[in-house]
Amino acid sequence: MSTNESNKQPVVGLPGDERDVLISRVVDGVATSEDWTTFRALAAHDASIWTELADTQHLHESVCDSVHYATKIADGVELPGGIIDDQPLRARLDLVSRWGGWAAAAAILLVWFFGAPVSSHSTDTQDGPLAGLVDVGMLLDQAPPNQAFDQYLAAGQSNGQVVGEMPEQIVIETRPMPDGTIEVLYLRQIIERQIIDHAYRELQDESGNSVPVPVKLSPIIGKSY
Amino acid sequence: MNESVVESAIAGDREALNLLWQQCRRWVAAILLAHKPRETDLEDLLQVVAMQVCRKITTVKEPKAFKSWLRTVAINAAREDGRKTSRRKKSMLKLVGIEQTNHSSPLSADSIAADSDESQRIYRAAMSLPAGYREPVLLRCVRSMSYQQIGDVLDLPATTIETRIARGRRMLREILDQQNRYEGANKSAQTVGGAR
Repeated sequence: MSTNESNKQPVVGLPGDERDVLISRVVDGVATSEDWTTFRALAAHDASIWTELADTQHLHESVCDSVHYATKIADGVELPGGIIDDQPLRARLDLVSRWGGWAAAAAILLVWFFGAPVSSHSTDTQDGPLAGLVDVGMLLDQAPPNQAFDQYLAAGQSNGQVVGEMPEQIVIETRPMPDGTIEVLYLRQIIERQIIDHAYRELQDESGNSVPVPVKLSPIIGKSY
Repeated sequence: MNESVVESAIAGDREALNLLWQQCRRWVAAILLAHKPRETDLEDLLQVVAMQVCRKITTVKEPKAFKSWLRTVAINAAREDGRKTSRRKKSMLKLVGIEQTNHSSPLSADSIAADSDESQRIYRAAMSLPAGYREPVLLRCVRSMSYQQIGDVLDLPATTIETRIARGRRMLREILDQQNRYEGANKSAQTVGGAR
């Protein structure tokens, strides 16, 4: 890029704005024969206009490359498959939440969202989406939390639903307790895996309600966990 | 853009609406780019706008108003996301008890083509233009939209668009010239410092 100060000095007889517009028209390929005549006349007195033109052309092309690259993702965004009425979803969620608590709600939501039973490599012989939860419930009844958690990890890994636990635990807060001990609140992160038939992106409408929107995903050849 | 397609879309013709969206989504993306917070995913915002289009297209009074209506939907989506992002950042920082700092990450969400530092610098400079200049400069890059087409979107005369693009480009040159001078001065100072 040129840093020539003279670039910004308008040529006598042509105000700065008109000079900018003239250069812009040339860059955009919309200059008329009259514009070209004016341009030649200007260039005869002030050769710096060529530098200015080259710089503007270069900037325009560079910005266009970036904009093109950033916006090409738009070609893959389609309109939702229909005007989505989320009332049934909310009614179903309310019902499920009252009936089975958040865990059951989450499980049924998963099935509802994906539109088909989740495939798994489970060896369970019981049918239905809550079959696994019943087993987990039994484990939790019988073991202390840490042991139950380990059992969950082991069972999940054996049937392919749990990929593993992230090694790092994130400390959210530590606070001293009246008895001299320290309470530590932290996150444990588990990576789980599900095979699904259809994917939905959860968005919010203007009232803040969750709305599922179908997502088109192109198949890729890659590894699975 | 065919006015009868817009009319049919407003009347509820799904096929016309799809066609309309396909014609507009690139420039909608450019509008979002000009207004969204840097860290927000452009695709997410496009989905939000697509949903709004489906739900509210029937509220457009006349076909001529469609483009500026769509631009308003896009800008509102970007601003709403900006407010959410800001709230989210504040609550996260409060949660972990960290003082708010101004992290200026490079072009995270819209990381532009594998490109050189030079391209990124130019893009950042373009994004720092005032909105009134930034939008037409970016839109001009979308499939070479004409001044008139950009004017239809921004609801401004083509002559105003032409002037704004020309001024915007000059401002861009000046921003980059200024940066070059600043960097040049810094390098000189370092060289002098090193020589001592």
